[in-house]
Amino acid sequence: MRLLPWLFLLLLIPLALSLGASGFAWSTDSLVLWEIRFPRVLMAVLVGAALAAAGVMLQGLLRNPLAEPGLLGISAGAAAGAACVVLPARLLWPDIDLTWILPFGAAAGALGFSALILLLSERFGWQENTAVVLCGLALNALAMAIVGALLVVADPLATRELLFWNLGSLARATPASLTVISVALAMAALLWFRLARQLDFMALGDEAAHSAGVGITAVKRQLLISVALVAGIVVAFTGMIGFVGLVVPHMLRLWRGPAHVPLLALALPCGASFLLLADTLARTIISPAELPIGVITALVGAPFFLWLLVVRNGVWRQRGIG
Amino acid sequence: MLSVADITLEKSQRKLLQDISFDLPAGQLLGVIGPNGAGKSSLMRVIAGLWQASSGSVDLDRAFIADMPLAQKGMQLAWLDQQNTVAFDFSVQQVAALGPQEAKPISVTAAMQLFGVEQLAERAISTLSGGQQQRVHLARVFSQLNASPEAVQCLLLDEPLNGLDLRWQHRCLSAAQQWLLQRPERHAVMALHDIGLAMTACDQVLVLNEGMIEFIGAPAEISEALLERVWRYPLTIQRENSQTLVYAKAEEQ
Repeated sequence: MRLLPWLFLLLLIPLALSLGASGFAWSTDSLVLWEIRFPRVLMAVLVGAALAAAGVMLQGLLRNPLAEPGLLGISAGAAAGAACVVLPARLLWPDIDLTWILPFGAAAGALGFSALILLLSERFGWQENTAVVLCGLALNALAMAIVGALLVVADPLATRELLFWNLGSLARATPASLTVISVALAMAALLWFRLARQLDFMALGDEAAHSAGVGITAVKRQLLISVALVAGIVVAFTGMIGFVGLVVPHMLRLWRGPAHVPLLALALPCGASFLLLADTLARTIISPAELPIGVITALVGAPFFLWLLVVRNGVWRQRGIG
Repeated sequence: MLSVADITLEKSQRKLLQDISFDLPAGQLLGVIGPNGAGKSSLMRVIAGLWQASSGSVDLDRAFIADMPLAQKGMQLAWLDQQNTVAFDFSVQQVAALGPQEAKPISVTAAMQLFGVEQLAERAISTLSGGQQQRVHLARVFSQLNASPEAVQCLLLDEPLNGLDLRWQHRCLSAAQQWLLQRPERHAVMALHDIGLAMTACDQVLVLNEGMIEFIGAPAEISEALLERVWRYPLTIQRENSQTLVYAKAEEQ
């Protein structure tokens, strides 16, 4: 049973590799297969796993089933950082190559906003989950306002580039970006597996968890830093890919229950499969053109989110955690 | 011996506890009673080491609870909060096993049987009634007692009888009393709101009023005048055999 999601992912990978603009074919020349599709497939696997696992940890940490990495303002911070770098750069040097400049700006923005949310959480003494979420919402609004203000003065080409980055894409996968993301995910996953059981205790509330010997402040600090780092790095290379971090943990919780260790173990392969499916759809459904992956995940994710709000929210409110 | 010495607790410039000192000899059950807002939960939290007192100290057999490493504190103390909510759909069985008892399923099953929730094991705890949920949390705490009989030295229950019907109230009190009797080095403190039950079941009663100790001693020494002064309400104490009943007289108009 535990191996099933991994088996599914293993079957999905060759399928995704063989699907292209020309339909289903293994005979595509090896350049397209290995230099273009393979990095992209690998990117989808890594990013999907990272976002879903980060969502599991963040929801457990904040005891809030509606939390996802984007909620804390990290993704919006990345967008603001990217805008701050890209728009002036295009204005000053119209021919500049943005391949590395954009992720760099986005990473700086993501880490900057992560630092802000961490500082604010320290200030609240790590007790007030609601306050942390509210700060995230405020930071989100601030970052989007920065992007909006910059877009007014930007030239149309730069605006378009930024818009496409915002919608998210896995097409920019390079060996370097794959290495950075896999190292970050591997280190975070080791930490997360160590802390996942503690999140079960924290579901009882901070004080009950503390009295059971869980170091609440240390766990929260380590988790928030690691989630922010992983989300920041991912968003820097792929842009904003929403809903994976929200939807996948929910589906898994409905399927296998809320205990965090099995949930995390499932989130890695299932998040990977979810994003790989979405990306394969994104690049084949209107080929030779392709849809931004953020559009596909949101097209699936938004209705699901609404269903959760309408059908399930009554249950949460009853428990006082909604 | 559980020693509480000169505890003062201030939060947001409000004094919640003032000059609290008492010694609880091993083997005794202490009931903490007082009107709403008297500081019962604050005192429980300071004893449990969840809140840092502004001054003063709490020690358990000469080891300061505030200085204990977290893991040791988690093993030596068993704590039940006044309000117990569980995020997400954890099952009764999963909640009862949260703690050092997770490695000893037999102790979890025994505690679930003790509080009559073994039939509900697979149900999501959020689907139970308030009283049933409280029994699950009691089963969680007593699982810890079962699982580490040598480790736990102090049982701290804040309003454990919340939402329980008579049968389970008595089950909870007698389970705590039996646990105390099994080994000599054990202590138990409970915050309770039923004055009569506290006076019946506890070896010592501590009456808190506005953050200060109004009385500590044997239940037999508690007078109607004391209770009426603290609760600001006309009360009657009725003692019969080993039972004490406290009830309200009609308020004078």
